Amino acid sequence: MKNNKSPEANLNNIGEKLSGLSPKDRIIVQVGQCSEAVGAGAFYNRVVETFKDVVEISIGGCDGACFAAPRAVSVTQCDSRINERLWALNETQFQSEDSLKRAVDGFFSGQFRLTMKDIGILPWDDLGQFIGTGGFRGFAKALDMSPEEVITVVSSSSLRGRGGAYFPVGLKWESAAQFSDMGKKTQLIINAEEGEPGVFKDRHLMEGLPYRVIEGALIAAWAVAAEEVYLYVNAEAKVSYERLNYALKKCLEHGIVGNNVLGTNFNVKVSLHRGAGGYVCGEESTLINTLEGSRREPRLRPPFPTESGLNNLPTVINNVETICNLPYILSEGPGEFKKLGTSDALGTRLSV
Amino acid sequence: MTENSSEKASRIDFRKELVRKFQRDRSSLLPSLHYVQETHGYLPSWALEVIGWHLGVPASEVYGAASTYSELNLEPYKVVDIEVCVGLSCSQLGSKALTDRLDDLMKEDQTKFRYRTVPCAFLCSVGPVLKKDGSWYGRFKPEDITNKLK
Repeated sequence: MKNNKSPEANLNNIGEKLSGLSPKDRIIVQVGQCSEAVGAGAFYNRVVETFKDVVEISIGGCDGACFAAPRAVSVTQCDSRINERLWALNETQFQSEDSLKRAVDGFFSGQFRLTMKDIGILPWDDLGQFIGTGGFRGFAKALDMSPEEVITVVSSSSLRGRGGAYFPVGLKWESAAQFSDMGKKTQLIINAEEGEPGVFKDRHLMEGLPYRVIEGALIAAWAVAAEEVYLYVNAEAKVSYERLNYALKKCLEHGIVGNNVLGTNFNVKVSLHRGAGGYVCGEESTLINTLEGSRREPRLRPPFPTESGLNNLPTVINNVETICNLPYILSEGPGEFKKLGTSDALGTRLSV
Repeated sequence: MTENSSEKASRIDFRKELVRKFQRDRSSLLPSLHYVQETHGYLPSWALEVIGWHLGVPASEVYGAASTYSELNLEPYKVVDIEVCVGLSCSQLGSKALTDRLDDLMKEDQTKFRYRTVPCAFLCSVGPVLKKDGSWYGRFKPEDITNKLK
């Protein structure tokens, strides 16, 4: 519904409405597609059995320490004895509890978690807690600006595409905006089809906090004035698909996606699509062919997708990790973002 | 092609399902193929024809699109008890030892089980992985085969 309050005030309302539902103390069991294969489901049951009368237990995404999966962490003011017992429950290929602790500590030291922030610490499905810890703030800020201003902010952060080609995001958006000025509606596709063996960064983001992926997609949609967003998810990533689907429904319910987003006159429709296998589907023109229902093969270029992509409309295609950087850039400012990384590669990079 | 009345009836039922679920638009092609695979386990040729009919796409093009996706089966799925991933990561982490062990067991007793190797199962961080009864098991060791796969 459209109202006169600012997007941030509307967001706070949603946060307040939901915050009463989430308990302060909880144990997060990290269940994802990989950790399920090494018994995270059984591990979850074991944790529930041990602690069900003591604290709330929720499921979160994996925090990236795949070598130690399955793992559970306790959050907030949990009793230290609970912590101890939890470590003891962790059953991995490590010889002892100490070596496991050392390995995990070593893994997290020196990391700056930007896109992975709070993943593995927050339950993946709790919208109230996500908003409470700063979620959707970047989007609310973006809504206060004009699309051109958002493009300027992102350009000045010199964020580059994390899909592999390392193309400047601002430049891509500008060129799409140029074609949409000719009266054509821009389409936005979020490329979550990753097929490289051994590399699953997007999956961690989608399983861990699907809301952040949606937030990033919404910022991108606002910047390029896209009213339709297509989230194209890998066929094998079933857990990601389910979690994104749930998160989208939740967002729709609370007016973060849909018509008059957060009380503004921005209308956006986000739809979820599934791939059907094959490394080449991650290539952007193949991805467009797949969405249109044609054969799975790349197109000749030019024209580039930003000029003529999905249904011959200007199309922006961004990777999941790229758009997960946007909430941080918008809420903290491009200056903070530029403090990270090396001089010709700013920001953080997720590698699994 | 001759068809009996029950086939005809199932075609009509299937068409009705498609009308309920999918827009008559070419972009519904992949979702409807997914739907058929979920309900039938594979893509029978009559279903491809009905999809083409519903979406206004020639059946040859439906077949053409369907045949390019590695996740879609155009033939009934062969029943196998065990699948072993032999993707890049898993072969580095020792899936060869798993298949060797399975080969040995097959030599001992042909009727015990059947297995096949599959390309990357996308569980690289916990490889080598093995699938049994529809779920994947990670960090699988050759000695686990006799212990866990009874």
